[in-house]
Amino acid sequence: MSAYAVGKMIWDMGRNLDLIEQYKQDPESVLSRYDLSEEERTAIRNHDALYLYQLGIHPQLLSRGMTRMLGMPQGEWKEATAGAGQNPGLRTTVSPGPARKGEELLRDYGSDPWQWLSTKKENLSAEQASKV
Amino acid sequence: MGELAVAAATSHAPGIAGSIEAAGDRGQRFHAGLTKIRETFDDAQPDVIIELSNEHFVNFYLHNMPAICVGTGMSFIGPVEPGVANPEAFLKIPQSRVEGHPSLAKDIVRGAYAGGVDVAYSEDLVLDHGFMVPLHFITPNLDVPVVPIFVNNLIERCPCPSASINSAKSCVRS
Repeated sequence: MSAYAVGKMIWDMGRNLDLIEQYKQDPESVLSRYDLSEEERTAIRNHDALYLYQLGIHPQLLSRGMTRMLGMPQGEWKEATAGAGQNPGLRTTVSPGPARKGEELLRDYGSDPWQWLSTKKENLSAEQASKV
Repeated sequence: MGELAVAAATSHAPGIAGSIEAAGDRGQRFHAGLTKIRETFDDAQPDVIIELSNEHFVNFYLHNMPAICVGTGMSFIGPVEPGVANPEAFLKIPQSRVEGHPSLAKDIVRGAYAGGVDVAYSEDLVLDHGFMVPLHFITPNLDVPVVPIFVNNLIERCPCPSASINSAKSCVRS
Protein backbone atom coordinates (compact mmCIF):
# COMPACT_ATOMS: atom_id res chain seq x y z
CA MET A 1 0.00 0.00 0.00
CA SER A 2 2.50 2.56 -1.18
CA ALA A 3 4.43 4.05 -4.04
CA TYR A 4 6.99 1.35 -3.28
CA ALA A 5 4.55 -1.46 -4.10
CA VAL A 6 3.22 0.17 -7.28
CA GLY A 7 6.77 0.80 -8.45
CA LYS A 8 7.82 -2.73 -7.53
CA MET A 9 5.03 -4.13 -9.67
CA ILE A 10 6.13 -2.00 -12.64
CA TRP A 11 9.76 -2.98 -12.06
CA ASP A 12 8.92 -6.69 -11.84
CA MET A 13 6.89 -6.46 -15.04
CA GLY A 14 9.78 -4.74 -16.82
CA ARG A 15 12.01 -7.70 -16.06
CA ASN A 16 9.43 -10.36 -16.90
CA LEU A 17 7.62 -10.13 -20.21
CA ASP A 18 5.40 -13.08 -19.19
CA LEU A 19 4.04 -10.95 -16.37
CA ILE A 20 3.13 -8.20 -18.86
CA GLU A 21 1.29 -10.76 -20.95
CA GLN A 22 -0.47 -12.11 -17.86
CA TYR A 23 -1.53 -8.58 -16.92
CA LYS A 24 -3.02 -8.14 -20.40
CA GLN A 25 -5.05 -11.33 -20.02
CA ASP A 26 -6.03 -10.93 -16.38
CA PRO A 27 -4.96 -7.71 -14.63
CA GLU A 28 -6.43 -8.75 -11.27
CA SER A 29 -4.20 -11.82 -11.06
CA VAL A 30 -1.15 -9.57 -11.14
CA LEU A 31 -2.56 -6.72 -9.04
CA SER A 32 -3.50 -9.15 -6.27
CA ARG A 33 0.14 -10.13 -5.76
CA TYR A 34 1.07 -6.65 -4.53
CA ASP A 35 0.11 -4.83 -1.37
CA LEU A 36 -1.94 -2.11 -3.07
CA SER A 37 -4.80 0.01 -1.77
CA GLU A 38 -8.09 0.07 -3.64
CA GLU A 39 -7.28 3.64 -4.77
CA GLU A 40 -3.96 2.50 -6.20
CA ARG A 41 -5.52 -0.47 -8.00
CA THR A 42 -8.19 1.84 -9.47
CA ALA A 43 -5.56 4.36 -10.62
CA ILE A 44 -3.56 1.58 -12.29
CA ARG A 45 -6.64 0.12 -13.99
CA ASN A 46 -7.72 3.58 -15.20
CA HIS A 47 -4.24 4.64 -16.34
CA ASP A 48 -4.42 7.59 -13.96
CA ALA A 49 -0.85 8.79 -14.47
CA LEU A 50 -1.26 11.99 -12.48
CA TYR A 51 -2.55 10.15 -9.39
CA LEU A 52 0.37 7.73 -9.57
CA TYR A 53 2.85 10.55 -10.07
CA GLN A 54 1.47 12.38 -7.06
CA LEU A 55 1.65 9.15 -5.10
CA GLY A 56 5.40 9.32 -5.71
CA ILE A 57 6.10 6.84 -8.49
CA HIS A 58 9.47 7.76 -9.91
CA PRO A 59 9.11 9.37 -13.36
CA GLN A 60 11.53 6.88 -14.88
CA LEU A 61 9.25 4.02 -13.82
CA LEU A 62 6.01 5.88 -14.45
CA SER A 63 6.66 6.75 -18.09
CA ARG A 64 7.76 3.27 -19.09
CA GLY A 65 5.27 1.58 -16.77
CA MET A 66 2.16 3.27 -18.11
CA THR A 67 2.92 2.59 -21.75
CA ARG A 68 4.95 -0.62 -21.81
CA MET A 69 3.61 -2.50 -18.81
CA LEU A 70 0.11 -1.25 -18.04
CA GLY A 71 -1.15 -0.87 -21.58
CA MET A 72 -1.75 2.90 -21.73
CA PRO A 73 -1.72 3.89 -25.43
CA GLN A 74 1.19 6.24 -26.30
CA GLY A 75 -1.23 8.91 -27.52
CA GLU A 76 -3.10 8.92 -24.19
CA TRP A 77 0.15 9.13 -22.24
CA LYS A 78 1.28 12.10 -24.31
CA GLU A 79 -2.08 13.75 -23.85
CA ALA A 80 -2.06 13.15 -20.09
CA THR A 81 1.41 14.58 -19.63
CA ALA A 82 0.97 17.45 -22.09
CA GLY A 83 -1.88 18.65 -19.86
CA ALA A 84 0.39 18.71 -16.84
CA GLY A 85 1.46 22.33 -17.21
CA GLN A 86 0.45 23.00 -13.63
CA ASN A 87 2.62 20.13 -12.56
CA PRO A 88 6.16 20.75 -13.82
CA GLY A 89 7.45 17.50 -12.29
CA LEU A 90 5.21 15.37 -14.46
CA ARG A 91 5.91 17.49 -17.49
CA THR A 92 9.63 16.95 -17.14
CA THR A 93 9.14 13.19 -17.36
CA VAL A 94 8.44 13.53 -21.05
CA SER A 95 9.59 17.00 -22.00
CA PRO A 96 12.68 18.32 -20.24
CA GLY A 97 12.59 21.55 -22.21
CA PRO A 98 15.42 23.09 -24.19
CA ALA A 99 18.79 21.74 -23.16
CA ARG A 100 21.31 24.28 -21.97
CA LYS A 101 24.41 24.62 -24.03
CA GLY A 102 27.62 23.23 -22.58
CA GLU A 103 29.31 26.63 -22.84
CA GLU A 104 26.57 28.21 -20.74
CA LEU A 105 26.94 25.57 -18.07
CA LEU A 106 30.71 25.96 -18.02
CA ARG A 107 30.38 29.72 -17.72
CA ASP A 108 28.16 29.26 -14.68
CA TYR A 109 30.05 26.44 -13.05
CA GLY A 110 33.57 27.62 -13.80
CA SER A 111 36.25 25.00 -13.42
CA ASP A 112 34.87 23.55 -10.19
CA PRO A 113 31.17 22.66 -10.14
CA TRP A 114 31.25 21.91 -6.42
CA GLN A 115 32.70 25.31 -5.66
CA TRP A 116 29.96 26.78 -7.80
CA LEU A 117 27.34 24.76 -6.02
CA SER A 118 28.57 25.83 -2.60
CA THR A 119 28.08 29.47 -3.59
CA LYS A 120 24.48 28.56 -4.32
CA LYS A 121 24.05 26.97 -0.92
CA GLU A 122 21.71 29.65 0.30
CA ASN A 123 19.28 28.62 -2.43
CA LEU A 124 19.22 24.99 -1.36
CA SER A 125 17.10 23.23 1.20
CA ALA A 126 18.86 22.20 4.40
CA GLU A 127 18.98 18.59 3.20
CA GLN A 128 20.48 19.50 -0.15
CA ALA A 129 22.96 21.90 1.42
CA SER A 130 24.18 19.18 3.79
CA LYS A 131 25.45 17.23 0.79
CA VAL A 132 27.54 20.00 -0.68
CA MET B 1 48.72 -1.70 -11.82
CA GLY B 2 47.50 -0.79 -15.27
CA GLU B 3 48.00 2.29 -17.34
CA LEU B 4 45.17 4.66 -18.14
CA ALA B 5 45.20 4.66 -21.95
CA VAL B 6 42.31 6.94 -22.73
CA ALA B 7 39.37 8.58 -20.96
CA ALA B 8 36.22 9.82 -22.65
CA ALA B 9 32.66 10.79 -21.84
CA THR B 10 29.56 10.88 -23.99
CA SER B 11 25.79 11.04 -23.76
CA HIS B 12 23.92 7.76 -24.00
CA ALA B 13 20.35 8.68 -24.94
CA PRO B 14 18.58 5.87 -26.83
CA GLY B 15 17.90 8.13 -29.82
CA ILE B 16 21.64 8.43 -30.50
CA ALA B 17 21.40 4.90 -31.86
CA GLY B 18 17.69 4.42 -32.48
CA SER B 19 16.57 7.60 -34.24
CA ILE B 20 19.51 9.94 -34.84
CA GLU B 21 17.94 11.22 -38.07
CA ALA B 22 15.41 13.07 -35.90
CA ALA B 23 18.22 15.33 -34.66
CA GLY B 24 19.28 16.52 -38.15
CA ASP B 25 22.63 18.32 -38.31
CA ARG B 26 23.06 18.20 -34.56
CA GLY B 27 22.93 14.42 -34.77
CA GLN B 28 25.64 14.40 -37.41
CA ARG B 29 27.84 16.66 -35.31
CA PHE B 30 27.31 14.42 -32.33
CA HIS B 31 28.31 11.35 -34.29
CA ALA B 32 31.40 13.14 -35.58
CA GLY B 33 32.41 13.50 -31.92
CA LEU B 34 31.73 9.83 -31.25
CA THR B 35 33.89 8.92 -34.24
CA LYS B 36 36.75 10.93 -32.73
CA ILE B 37 36.40 8.95 -29.50
CA ARG B 38 36.40 5.69 -31.46
CA GLU B 39 39.55 6.69 -33.34
CA THR B 40 41.24 7.60 -30.06
CA PHE B 41 40.30 4.18 -28.68
CA ASP B 42 41.55 2.46 -31.83
CA ASP B 43 44.89 4.24 -31.50
CA ALA B 44 45.22 3.56 -27.78
CA GLN B 45 44.20 -0.12 -28.06
CA PRO B 46 43.02 -0.48 -24.48
CA ASP B 47 43.00 -4.00 -22.97
CA VAL B 48 39.83 -3.30 -21.05
CA ILE B 49 37.18 -0.62 -20.78
CA ILE B 50 35.92 0.61 -17.41
CA GLU B 51 32.52 2.03 -18.27
CA LEU B 52 30.46 4.10 -15.86
CA SER B 53 26.80 4.76 -16.42
CA ASN B 54 23.80 5.54 -14.31
CA GLU B 55 21.16 3.12 -13.17
CA HIS B 56 17.69 3.44 -14.76
CA PHE B 57 15.75 0.95 -12.56
CA VAL B 58 16.92 -1.81 -14.88
CA ASN B 59 19.02 -3.88 -12.49
CA PHE B 60 17.99 -2.32 -9.19
CA TYR B 61 14.89 -1.12 -7.41
CA LEU B 62 14.23 0.24 -3.94
CA HIS B 63 14.44 -3.14 -2.22
CA ASN B 64 18.18 -2.88 -2.80
CA MET B 65 19.67 0.25 -4.32
CA PRO B 66 23.47 0.37 -4.30
CA ALA B 67 25.17 3.76 -4.54
CA ILE B 68 27.85 2.26 -6.77
CA CYS B 69 27.89 -1.30 -8.13
CA VAL B 70 30.83 -2.88 -9.96
CA GLY B 71 30.04 -5.60 -12.50
CA THR B 72 32.32 -8.52 -11.62
CA GLY B 73 30.71 -11.05 -13.99
CA MET B 74 32.31 -12.98 -16.83
CA SER B 75 29.86 -11.42 -19.28
CA PHE B 76 26.78 -9.24 -19.48
CA ILE B 77 23.85 -9.31 -21.90
CA GLY B 78 22.92 -6.06 -23.57
CA PRO B 79 21.06 -4.15 -24.63
CA VAL B 80 18.22 -5.05 -22.28
CA GLU B 81 15.39 -2.55 -21.81
CA PRO B 82 12.58 -3.06 -19.28
CA GLY B 83 9.36 -4.28 -20.86
CA VAL B 84 10.79 -4.22 -24.38
CA ALA B 85 10.60 -7.60 -26.11
CA ASN B 86 12.94 -6.62 -28.93
CA PRO B 87 15.48 -4.00 -27.79
CA GLU B 88 17.18 -4.18 -31.19
CA ALA B 89 14.10 -2.66 -32.80
CA PHE B 90 14.16 0.12 -30.18
CA LEU B 91 17.89 0.88 -30.28
CA LYS B 92 19.07 -0.59 -33.57
CA ILE B 93 21.78 -2.35 -31.58
CA PRO B 94 21.83 -6.16 -31.78
CA GLN B 95 21.54 -7.89 -28.44
CA SER B 96 24.72 -9.72 -27.58
CA ARG B 97 26.90 -10.92 -24.73
CA VAL B 98 29.57 -8.41 -23.71
CA GLU B 99 32.69 -9.94 -22.22
CA GLY B 100 33.52 -8.80 -18.69
CA HIS B 101 36.85 -8.66 -16.86
CA PRO B 102 36.28 -10.23 -13.43
CA SER B 103 39.84 -9.97 -12.14
CA LEU B 104 40.15 -6.24 -12.79
CA ALA B 105 36.60 -5.70 -11.52
CA LYS B 106 37.44 -7.44 -8.24
CA ASP B 107 40.64 -5.40 -7.93
CA ILE B 108 38.56 -2.25 -8.31
CA VAL B 109 36.24 -3.46 -5.53
CA ARG B 110 39.21 -4.25 -3.28
CA GLY B 111 40.77 -0.89 -4.12
CA ALA B 112 37.54 0.91 -3.29
CA TYR B 113 37.28 -0.88 0.06
CA ALA B 114 40.90 0.03 0.81
CA GLY B 115 40.10 3.63 -0.09
CA GLY B 116 37.16 3.71 2.31
CA VAL B 117 34.24 3.27 -0.09
CA ASP B 118 32.06 0.19 0.33
CA VAL B 119 30.98 -0.28 -3.27
CA ALA B 120 28.57 -3.08 -4.13
CA TYR B 121 29.39 -5.69 -6.73
CA SER B 122 27.37 -8.15 -8.76
CA GLU B 123 27.99 -10.87 -11.32
CA ASP B 124 24.40 -10.78 -12.51
CA LEU B 125 23.80 -7.52 -14.35
CA VAL B 126 22.38 -6.55 -17.70
CA LEU B 127 23.48 -3.56 -19.74
CA ASP B 128 20.87 -1.08 -20.94
CA HIS B 129 21.26 1.74 -23.45
CA GLY B 130 23.34 3.66 -20.89
CA PHE B 131 26.18 1.19 -21.47
CA MET B 132 25.36 -0.15 -24.92
CA VAL B 133 24.91 3.07 -26.90
CA PRO B 134 28.47 4.31 -26.22
CA LEU B 135 29.96 0.82 -26.62
CA HIS B 136 28.16 0.27 -29.90
CA PHE B 137 29.80 3.30 -31.46
CA ILE B 138 33.19 3.22 -29.74
CA THR B 139 33.89 -0.53 -29.98
CA PRO B 140 31.34 -1.74 -32.54
CA ASN B 141 32.71 -5.29 -32.56
CA LEU B 142 32.54 -5.47 -28.74
CA ASP B 143 36.02 -7.00 -28.82
CA VAL B 144 37.37 -5.28 -25.70
CA PRO B 145 36.26 -6.61 -22.29
CA VAL B 146 34.22 -4.23 -20.17
CA VAL B 147 33.97 -3.61 -16.43
CA PRO B 148 30.61 -1.90 -16.06
CA ILE B 149 30.16 0.34 -13.02
CA PHE B 150 26.62 1.41 -12.14
CA VAL B 151 26.16 4.67 -10.26
CA ASN B 152 22.87 5.67 -8.69
CA ASN B 153 22.11 9.22 -9.71
CA LEU B 154 18.48 8.27 -10.17
CA ILE B 155 16.94 8.51 -6.76
CA GLU B 156 17.79 9.85 -3.33
CA ARG B 157 20.11 9.11 -1.67
CA CYS B 158 22.73 9.33 -4.36
CA PRO B 159 26.37 8.73 -3.48
CA CYS B 160 28.09 11.83 -2.19
CA PRO B 161 30.83 13.34 -4.37
CA SER B 162 33.63 12.04 -2.16
CA ALA B 163 32.46 8.44 -2.68
CA SER B 164 32.45 8.95 -6.43
CA ILE B 165 35.90 10.53 -6.39
CA ASN B 166 37.37 7.83 -4.14
CA SER B 167 35.86 5.10 -6.34
CA ALA B 168 37.37 6.73 -9.40
CA LYS B 169 40.75 6.80 -7.65
CA SER B 170 40.47 3.09 -6.96
CA CYS B 171 39.83 2.50 -10.68
CA VAL B 172 42.98 4.42 -11.53
CA ARG B 173 45.02 2.51 -8.92
CA SER B 174 43.77 -0.93 -10.06
